[in-house]
Amino acid sequence: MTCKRRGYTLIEMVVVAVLSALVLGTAVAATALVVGMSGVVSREVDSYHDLARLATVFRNDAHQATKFTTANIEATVGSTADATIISEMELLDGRTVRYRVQDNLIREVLQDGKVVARDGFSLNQGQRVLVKTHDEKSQMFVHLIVFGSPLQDGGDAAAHQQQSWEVHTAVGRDRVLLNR
Amino acid sequence: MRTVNPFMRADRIMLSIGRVPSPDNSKRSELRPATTVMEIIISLFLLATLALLSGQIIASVVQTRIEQRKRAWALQEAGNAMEKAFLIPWAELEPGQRREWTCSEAARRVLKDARTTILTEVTDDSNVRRLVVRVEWSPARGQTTQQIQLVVFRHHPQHSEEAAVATQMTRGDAGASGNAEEAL
Repeated sequence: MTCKRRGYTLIEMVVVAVLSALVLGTAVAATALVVGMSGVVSREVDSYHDLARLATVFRNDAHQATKFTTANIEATVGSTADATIISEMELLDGRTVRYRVQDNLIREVLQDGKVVARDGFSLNQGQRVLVKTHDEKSQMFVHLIVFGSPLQDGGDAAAHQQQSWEVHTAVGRDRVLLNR
Repeated sequence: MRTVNPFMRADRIMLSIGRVPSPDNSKRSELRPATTVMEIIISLFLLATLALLSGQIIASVVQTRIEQRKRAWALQEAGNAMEKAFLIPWAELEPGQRREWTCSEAARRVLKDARTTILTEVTDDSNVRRLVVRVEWSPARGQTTQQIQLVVFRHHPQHSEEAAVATQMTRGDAGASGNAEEAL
């Protein structure tokens, strides 16, 4: 008696291979998507933390300012090799703080004309920064505006460019409260 | 030689898919091995579970990202409102007063139905007012209203002058103090 051992046909093997490839491909793609998105979320969280830090430091400087000047121009991050000074303020303690845009947004503290401290806030290339002032009830308010989304991970590029992050602060608030 | 009961054979054929009788050349019936219904059901169940888990993880990451962005915007908006709240004259800080402020256009684009309220509250010290700056917005469907809250303390200008000058010597901050808290 001969007993033939049955195997799989070519069609069966092809179908199994295609289905396996499909399942594995989907699993790998899903994993890659999750890992990639986690990275994007982390970077975005970092960006917002940096913007929040910028808001805190800028407000603190403006509150102590006795004199405030702004270039009133939109400076683009990474557009020129030369730094663009967008704002300068004299503080209560005699120091001067200036904000300039180059590869990043940089804050410099000057004492007697010499830089004594420097701090950086990482912004994306192409993001724009504007500092403008307006008066409200005899109080000067300053708006620091960062145009452009912290992350451009797809979507409408024009909408990303139009998105703006605004910091409002009262100039010389500490002095105002002190003299009130 | 293996013999198969005709009833059992029919039963096995019914329970299997793709199991077909092989050509019976030697008067011997032999069944081609295939996949049972139970095996297919288990495979589909496992695949569905895997797909569901992956979907849940992706949805969770996306949702976290959106919520985080909204909270960052709301916090920024509350900070901007607090700047103006600091400059409200003391005489206008009546306890229990609630002020509704309009949110900026940029914040309204991110936060649906965003509204900013400033609530003036009394403290144990009559020369101190507690200002609660609250930004509320409507999240996605089926969720309760989300909010961010900052708290700031305003001191009476006359009564806090001495303390303010003393504070200014060390901190450069005068006549007011603040702390921030986030509310879920």
